[in-house]
Amino acid sequence: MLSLLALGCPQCSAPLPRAARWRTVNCSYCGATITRGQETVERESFRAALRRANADSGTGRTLQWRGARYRVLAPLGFGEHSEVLLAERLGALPERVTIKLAREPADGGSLLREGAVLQALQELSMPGAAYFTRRLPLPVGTGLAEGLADGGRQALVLRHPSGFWGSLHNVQHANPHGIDPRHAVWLWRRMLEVLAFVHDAGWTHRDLSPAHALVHPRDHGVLIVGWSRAQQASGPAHAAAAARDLMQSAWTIRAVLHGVAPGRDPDESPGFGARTPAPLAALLRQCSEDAGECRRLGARGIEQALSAASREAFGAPQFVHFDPAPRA
Amino acid sequence: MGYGNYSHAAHTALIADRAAKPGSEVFTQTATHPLMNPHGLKVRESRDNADHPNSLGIAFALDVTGSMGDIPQTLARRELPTFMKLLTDCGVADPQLMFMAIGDANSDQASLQVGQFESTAPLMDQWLTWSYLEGGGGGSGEESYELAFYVMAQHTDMDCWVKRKKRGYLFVTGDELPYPAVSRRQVEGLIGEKLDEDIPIEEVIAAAAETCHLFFLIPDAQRRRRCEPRWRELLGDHVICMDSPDDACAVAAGIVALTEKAVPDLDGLARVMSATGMEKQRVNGVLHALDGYAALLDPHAPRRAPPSAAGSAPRSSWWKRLFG
Repeated sequence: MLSLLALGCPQCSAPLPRAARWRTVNCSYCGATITRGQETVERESFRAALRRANADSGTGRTLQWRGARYRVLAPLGFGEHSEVLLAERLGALPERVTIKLAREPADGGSLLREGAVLQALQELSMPGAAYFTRRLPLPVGTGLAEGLADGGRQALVLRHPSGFWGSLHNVQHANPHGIDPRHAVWLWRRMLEVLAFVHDAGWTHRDLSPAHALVHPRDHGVLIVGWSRAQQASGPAHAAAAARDLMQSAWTIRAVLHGVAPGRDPDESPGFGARTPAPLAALLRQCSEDAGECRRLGARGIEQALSAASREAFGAPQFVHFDPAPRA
Repeated sequence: MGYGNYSHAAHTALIADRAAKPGSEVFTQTATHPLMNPHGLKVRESRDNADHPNSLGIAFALDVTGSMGDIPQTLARRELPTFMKLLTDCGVADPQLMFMAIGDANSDQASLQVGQFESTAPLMDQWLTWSYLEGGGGGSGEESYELAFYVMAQHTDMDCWVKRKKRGYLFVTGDELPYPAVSRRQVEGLIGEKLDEDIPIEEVIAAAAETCHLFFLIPDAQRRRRCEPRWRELLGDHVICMDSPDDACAVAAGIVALTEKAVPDLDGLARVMSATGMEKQRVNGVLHALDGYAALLDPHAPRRAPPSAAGSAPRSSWWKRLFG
């Protein structure tokens, strides 16, 4: 702003120092004393600044969504109903987002539904909501994305979960002989904490596969994604769905303990991994195979049992650095 | 302004006896301090000088309404030396700090207070503690944060930008929404300056962003829920939600260090914070708050996400067999 102005002496037109804008100065050419007068600040200079901020030509693949322009940074993959992209809002103050684009027009409804679910989860006001809603995907909104070669497509835009390395499916494939069981304990614990919260609110995820759990190397953070099948219910129906979530979480942990060693039958249900201590293996078997036990314990009960099994197997908890892809 | 040298030892000594003092003995003003009254404000200057040949202007605009009084108190009692020490330990040269205080211009007596850019501990502390913590706010869910952006855009002049085209920094702390525009009536009343029109906040932010990196720091997860979406529309990943208001200085210092490339990444920042004796849980909280912004600075971050990072791998056959 200030640096864009040129100031001249009103007597001899020689250039003045920039400080003339706010101080009395002496012209270095004719020696006149120059005193600042009254002036009106014009909005136009601010409007011009906004135009400059939005002038980015947006090289590469770009799209428009709800009045903003986004540059696609990387494809992240394909979901059941969508193409998933990492994108950045163009402008002076960017925002990185994950954009789920409907693969077919008929898939738009699924994205709208997922967006509504995520928004409902964000609006929960029960105890602990402030903390746990940050551990869920954060929706920006839904709407038509335009500027694509194939016309407009329905989009669900989410804040990009920075720092997450990949999904537990990726972890499984990066650790063909399975991960250290101590990491599995923490990963499962993180999932159970979030599940306890959403189950208390009457929600269930219903598709807690390894691909729907993103992992952050720091502190074994887990972000559960893929909420398109989530439902809210109560009574026996909710209890059954919650138990199923818990069973799925146990199978997901079994998968990363089991790995995908070359030559192993991909249709084989995952075991417990060669290094899993007996107390942990027993709990995993119980939770993955006994829906009634999952219903009885609930997420918090399983977490307590997990802590007990971990203590029995490994002693007091201690920090172990987690590398999702140790062979990379 | 901006003469003199910073001493962490002097700063620590200056605030050593404040922990047990009531807030009113740390912040003694009962009205706007005359030297922080913005009426007649022309320019706040951050200047290079013999002591600071590479000055870097850093402004804090502190929300001093009722719900946000904890941050100024924490800064004055304990955390401001942390900010300066972290910057120094990271190798950020010649920071010059200015404090502003923000309230609600529709209801408060002291809705805008503006200090000076300073380099020494006593003067930094002076301008901070001369702020009047009115504890007001209009109850509408909005505060006049847009005035801070206006002051930065229209009433600051920093040698870091003028001479080196390096932006300064503005950290706004708050937990409410901004008003949609800078009111010409308010600017005339507060500063004595005439605007030809009200200026939409988007335009004020764009103007301020030309010379400053702009950030909005939300004190905690509970308070983010009522204001974060709107702020992210305006400032994107420059909206930082902290785990605790006590983290404001560490987060701000981390942002400056990362942006100035004084540390290479979050891990480098973590090492510096740990070396100062900061406890691990707090270090992790700061890193968590900065994850999104740090990713923005990392040109290689998009390539680090493996395929299927968004959780879209096809379901395994065993999964289909078990769960359909």
